[in-house]
Amino acid sequence: MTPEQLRAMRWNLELDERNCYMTDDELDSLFPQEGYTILSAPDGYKKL
Amino acid sequence: MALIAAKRAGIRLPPEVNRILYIRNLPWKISSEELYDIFGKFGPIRQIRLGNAPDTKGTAYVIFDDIFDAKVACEHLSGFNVCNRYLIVLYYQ
Repeated sequence: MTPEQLRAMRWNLELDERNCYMTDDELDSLFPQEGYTILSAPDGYKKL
Repeated sequence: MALIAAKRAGIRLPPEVNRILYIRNLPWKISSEELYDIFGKFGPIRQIRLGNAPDTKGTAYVIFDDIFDAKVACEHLSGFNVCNRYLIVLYYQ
């Protein structure tokens, strides 16, 4: 493992942790409780 | 796929970049379809929260699934014109 590979691997691991899936209640804990409504996706919306 | 490309390149993102964008200066009567239309073209959206209280009207939180989509969206959308109002797009701190 060259130092560059080690560094890239470390960054990727950190990236994975920052990009991991957040559950609904984790999201709820982030935001102010009142004052915001969760919009429902329009029916035509498909995750591309 | 942006994430996979970055993985190979080992790109490092600045710490303040994250998947949640805080949008200001939105028109008050913007609809869910319009928001999903504007932000949806950058990548899959995890959730959108629109302000409805007097102090949070015209602001919204847009949560992307992928951190790179949020970064691209932020770069492209700040200053975007919606009903002649310029959007302010910030990363959620």
